[in-house]
Amino acid sequence: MIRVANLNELVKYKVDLEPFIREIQGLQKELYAANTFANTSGRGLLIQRYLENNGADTTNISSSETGLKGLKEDLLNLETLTVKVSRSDFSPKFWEQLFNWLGENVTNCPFLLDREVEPSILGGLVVLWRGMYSDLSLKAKLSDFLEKESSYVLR
Amino acid sequence: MSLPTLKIFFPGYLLSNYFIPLGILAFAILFLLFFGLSSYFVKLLSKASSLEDKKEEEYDDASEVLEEAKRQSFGIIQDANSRAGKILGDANLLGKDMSSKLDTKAQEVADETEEFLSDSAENLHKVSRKVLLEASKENMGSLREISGDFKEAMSKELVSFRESLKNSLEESQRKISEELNLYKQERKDSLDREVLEVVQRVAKAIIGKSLNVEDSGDYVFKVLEEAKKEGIFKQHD
Repeated sequence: MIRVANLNELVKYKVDLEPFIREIQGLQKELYAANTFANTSGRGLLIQRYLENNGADTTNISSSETGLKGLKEDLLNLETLTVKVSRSDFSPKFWEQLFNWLGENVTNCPFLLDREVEPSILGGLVVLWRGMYSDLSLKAKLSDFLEKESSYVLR
Repeated sequence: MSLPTLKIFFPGYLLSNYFIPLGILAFAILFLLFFGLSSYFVKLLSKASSLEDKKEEEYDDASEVLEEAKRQSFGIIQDANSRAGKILGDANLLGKDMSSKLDTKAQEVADETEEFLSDSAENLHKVSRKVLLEASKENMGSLREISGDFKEAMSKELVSFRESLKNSLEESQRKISEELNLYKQERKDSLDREVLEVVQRVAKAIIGKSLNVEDSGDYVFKVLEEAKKEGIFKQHD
């Protein structure tokens, strides 16, 4: 079984999982056709490095097959953390920082980030993780304010 | 042929010596008869008078019970009204229109109950009078029996009447409270929607234009740090 410590080096966002799985399946099919990892690039190269870093011999078909199968299973077993934000134009750098922050302060383990855009939350974010629902949105803060100050607001 | 002559003979004592004693005897018999009849008549009158008194007494008793029931029922209504007033008083979110609408409704319920109560008491009065009048035609024994049964039946009827009145008032109160809570919730939801709409418009017009994507990003990390300080994520570590 592959160690899952570095799984997020391969996939961070849920939207990327399916293409990545397809890539692994493609590599599995090609294993017996040629020296699979000889001419890989892009994701293939990442997978090769990942397997090698985790002790697999990518020159050996059997070892590579076991490594790819384990990797696929582990990726499919990753838990998903969902965040809802108010706008869709955040930069990749922002998402990278947010991913790291959540990994260090919320999940403490590899996970997949599912990004959703919901303009009605106005600002801030909503976090869903393992049954926890944290509404840190501007809308929630406004609602809290209106609830506390209802006697003033509804006068 | 000649017919025999009919001759009637009266004894001599009927006409002379026995006339006075017989007269005295007849007078004595008539006097005794008159005295006996008078006594019987007086006795009947006395009985009738006693029956009348008993009837009045029973009727008074019944009236007292009815008055007491009425008084207690009005007490229940007053209590219900004061509770309804408290509910309305607690509803500090009420608008003037709804407050007055509910106030009117509570008053209507109270009026209806009061009217029902008065009618019921009046009917009971009528029924009791009729029963007692019928009973007075019979002898005293029957009257006692009927008035006893009547008292028991009326007592049961009043207990049941009080119970149903109380239930009816509680039901009315419950309906008013439900209506009030529904109104409060609807009003609150409506205000929430209005406020949200206004805030969204304001946010779009003001924050959307002045708050750029970097500021929005900074705000995301700001609220995350605040949540971390509050320990929101700790239980999920």
